[in-house]
Amino acid sequence: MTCIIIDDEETSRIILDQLCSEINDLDLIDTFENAIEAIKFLNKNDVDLILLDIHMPGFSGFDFIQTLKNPPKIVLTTSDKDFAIQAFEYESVMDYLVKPITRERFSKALKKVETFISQKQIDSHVHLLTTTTTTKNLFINIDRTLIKIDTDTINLIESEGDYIKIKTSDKIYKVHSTLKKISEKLPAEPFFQVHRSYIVNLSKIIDIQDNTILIEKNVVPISKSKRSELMRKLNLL
Amino acid sequence: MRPNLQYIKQLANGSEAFENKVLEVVKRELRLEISSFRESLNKGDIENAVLFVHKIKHKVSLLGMEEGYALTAKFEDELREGSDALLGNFESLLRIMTMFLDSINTEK
Repeated sequence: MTCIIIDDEETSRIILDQLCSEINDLDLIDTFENAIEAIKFLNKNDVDLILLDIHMPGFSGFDFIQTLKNPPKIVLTTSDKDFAIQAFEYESVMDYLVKPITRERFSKALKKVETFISQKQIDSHVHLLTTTTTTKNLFINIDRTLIKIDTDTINLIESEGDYIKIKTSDKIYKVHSTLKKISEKLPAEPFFQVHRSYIVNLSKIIDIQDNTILIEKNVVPISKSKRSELMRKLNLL
Repeated sequence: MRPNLQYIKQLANGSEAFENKVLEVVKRELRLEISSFRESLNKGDIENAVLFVHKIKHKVSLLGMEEGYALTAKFEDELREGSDALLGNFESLLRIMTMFLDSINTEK
């Protein structure tokens, strides 16, 4: 489980850092003394948990939660006992720790988060298994028309700025979306993201040479980091 | 209203280095927070003064001062409403805390 700390007091950051270091399987990625810096970080990185101070100058912990579209789990840390009711109005808030935080109380809060995340992972895995066996069709919105695409006909998907291009043998559909969004809608097999800008249909690969894949007339690059996983997915002789 | 190191020692779990590190930061931050609190109050910037009282409140609790915590919480609320009736008591508390922290040698 990955986490970050947001607290304007250095004393709190040191204490929380120490408490985090005592929890197995908790990876403290970074600490921030204000919410703005943390938002910048979260725009580029995902974390499972945020240890968040409520009272910070200019931009409070509650302001911060409201700016997050898909907030990870949050454990609030504060010197006040009076914000508990407000805190639990936010779905992402899992616990509320009053400073000074004891080792036992911290450990209990983390256990709660860990249990929740593990359960969610099991649920989403089950959901994925159920949907991937049935989702063969994908609907895309082009000029207010919903067009059905049989996912078996997709050769590859390429990202281009704010758009993605879905390429079949006879058509290219340009849609305002991201690779991340479409990958959530595609069946897990036979699609695989081989590069930050490409998802390919593995069943359509003609050949692989060096760090490129040939699919019909398209040459697709393979990221170094994806190469070994790709090889594992192929039926190699 | 005597400060103690019970919480910090529990947290340090026998590590003198960690204990000293926390105390050094508490000393440094508290000094800054006290001077910022006084400066804000002198300028009439109540909102900022309240913010620093809040930060100091955490240090009061770290030093295990339960009565001091209650006093600081009350002072914080009253100051937010515009009353500094507890300023004298709060200043006494600050003096006790700084004297206590100054008596600790963290450069061992």
